[in-house]
Amino acid sequence: MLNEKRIILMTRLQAYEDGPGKGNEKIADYFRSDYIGHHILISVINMTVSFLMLAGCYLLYHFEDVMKDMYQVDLVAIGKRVAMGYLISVVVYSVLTYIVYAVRYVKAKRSLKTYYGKLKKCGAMYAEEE
Amino acid sequence: MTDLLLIKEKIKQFLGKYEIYLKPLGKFLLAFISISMINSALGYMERITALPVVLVVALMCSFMPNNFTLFAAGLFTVLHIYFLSLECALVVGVVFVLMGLLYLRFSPKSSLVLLILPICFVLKIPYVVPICVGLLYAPVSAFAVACGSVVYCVISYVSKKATELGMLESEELTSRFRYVVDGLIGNRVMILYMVAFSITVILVYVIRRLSINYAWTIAIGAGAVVQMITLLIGDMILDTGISIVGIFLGNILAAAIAIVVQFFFFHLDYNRAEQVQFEDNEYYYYVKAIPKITVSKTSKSVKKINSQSEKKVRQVNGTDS
Repeated sequence: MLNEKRIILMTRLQAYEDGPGKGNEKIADYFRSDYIGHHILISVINMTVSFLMLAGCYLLYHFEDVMKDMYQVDLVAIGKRVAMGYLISVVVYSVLTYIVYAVRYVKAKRSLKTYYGKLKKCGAMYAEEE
Repeated sequence: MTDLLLIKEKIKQFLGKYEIYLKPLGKFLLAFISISMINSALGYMERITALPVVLVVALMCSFMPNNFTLFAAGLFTVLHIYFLSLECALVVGVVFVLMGLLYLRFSPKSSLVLLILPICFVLKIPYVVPICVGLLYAPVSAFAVACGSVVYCVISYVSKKATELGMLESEELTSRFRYVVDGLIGNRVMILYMVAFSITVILVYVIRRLSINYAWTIAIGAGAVVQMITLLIGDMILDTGISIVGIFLGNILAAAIAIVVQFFFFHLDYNRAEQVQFEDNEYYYYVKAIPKITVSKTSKSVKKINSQSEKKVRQVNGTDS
């Protein structure tokens, strides 16, 4: 005889495994620090590339002024300002990344905990029938 | 109302049954429409405007992830603009790469919004997208809507200024570059759309998440009104020249379409709401449960009675086809 409740539970478990479960299991395979650290590293690289592109565009936009004032301007001071701007943008973007991926990790873990709980319940239903 | 609910159930069943075919078909159509619109708006590189090229790329997009469609659309845009002006292609390429590097890695699912919003702009129904995004996605998708506005405004700017950009060949590289950057960054219409749409997305999201009756309906109405007001105020301040009649009619149409979206995604019977309280070892729960409105399909049963032999009665149970 078919156990309807068990079938409904198993259907929902399978739907979870086929859908959000796939992504959540990949996330849960990492330790929290590794997962967040990996994404922060990608963010740093992305922000560095973006900063270089924007700096290049800025230089091209102000090319004539830069060429005119190049020998009169304090290059060390400008270098410090650029470095400060780069550091601030990397730090802000990294903090944003940390928040987003920390929340994602917690949600994935919580969701998997519920899934494993339901899986245990399904196993208990099988044991009862035996 | 019951008929509409039956139609909704039939559509859901149809989509569920043929999802394996409909999903690639949908991706193919989205890619084909996006690339065709880019080709018709720009179209400076004739080799990639050919129908076989568009069909092959759209076919590839139907089997690849959604971000590939976005990449293909971006590539087509940059290639067309490259044929017109190198500096313009450089600026547009930098804008697209920045969007990809800084935003899309957080929310790759929002890449659809970047494709759909420009299409809606061309179809003259752009105001529906922020309301629907607020109903269906998280508030971080406001960035996607802002990026979609940028994409459309960039393509629109290049399309309108094509003659002037082509005539800049005689100028120096840096002058041409500065002209393009000033034109793109100083685009007040783009700034207005970005601000108005982002505010709408966040407002609609906040209201529809409230635990009040008819939250989604109130969110749609409030979103349309706030969007109208923001656009009108922005038009007065920035003198963007957006049609006021278009804003009114567009937002009314957007609200109507959003109501249809609500019908398909979130249809609740507030008259049968239940409020329960219970406790366990850790928490005390106050729960409000509102049932979804669904109808089950009626099953037909056909009885055939053989007149020659009344004892033989056949029952055939059939379903709708």
